[in-house]
Amino acid sequence: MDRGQFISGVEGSQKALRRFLMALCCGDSQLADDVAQEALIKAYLSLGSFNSTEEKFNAWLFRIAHNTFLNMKRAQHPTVGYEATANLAGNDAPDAAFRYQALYGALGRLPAKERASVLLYYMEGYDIKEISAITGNSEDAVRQHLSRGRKHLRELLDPTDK
Amino acid sequence: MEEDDKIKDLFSNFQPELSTSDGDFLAQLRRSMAAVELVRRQHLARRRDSRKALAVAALTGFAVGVIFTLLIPFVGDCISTFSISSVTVTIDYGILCRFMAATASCLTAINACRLALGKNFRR
Repeated sequence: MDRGQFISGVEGSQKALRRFLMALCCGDSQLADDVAQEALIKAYLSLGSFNSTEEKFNAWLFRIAHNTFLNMKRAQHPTVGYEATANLAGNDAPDAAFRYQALYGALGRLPAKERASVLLYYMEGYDIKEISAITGNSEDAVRQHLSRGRKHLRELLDPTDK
Repeated sequence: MEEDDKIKDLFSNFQPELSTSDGDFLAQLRRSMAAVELVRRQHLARRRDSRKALAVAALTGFAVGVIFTLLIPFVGDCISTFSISSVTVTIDYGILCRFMAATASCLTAINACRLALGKNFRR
């Protein structure tokens, strides 16, 4: 895969990747874009290791993005909790910026592994096997993350529904 | 299953606004890729130059070493003629000459490497 093919591949999948990262970053779109840029540069630098017969290009990009996000999280010192998402800087359309606050708040309270599994499964439509390849967890672990994530998300979004 | 559908519904409508447009994002990515390419090319050129400098140093060192080794018998004779007769310590001039040849080869090789690197860096 050369530079041109890489760019055309990225053009097709960047939106989904950024949306996934934005949800993973609990609505911090600036951070999500930074992670996306870093992940895509990493992907570009390791194009030689990409094997199109073994893995789909999109799944490969998501794997790198997920790892980049986890590395960034590890390097970061947590200073604020998920409550800070309520004070996220809005863009030109305040309504749109606050539309997903409840969801971001709930996602922020999920452990990173559960969050990634839930987002890849429900938002991007990947199956268990693909999520296992992207996140580097076993299929059983992914099933467990999905089950727990689903339960937690339901409790967080609708506390009366137990 | 009902629980699953609820969450599916939740994400089916999830269309967050991204902070930058697709065009801006891709333009930034292209700029970063160009910068990375530039750094990578420079890094490769630097490595190539370093290898060249090492090769020059090795060849120069080897050549100087060969020349000095060939000159050892003559140099040994020259040194022995200048030796002070009152000194009673026996000096093995062969070893001394070899040591001098090795030192000269090393110094020449180091300087050749420095010169080659300096020339490459100026370029």
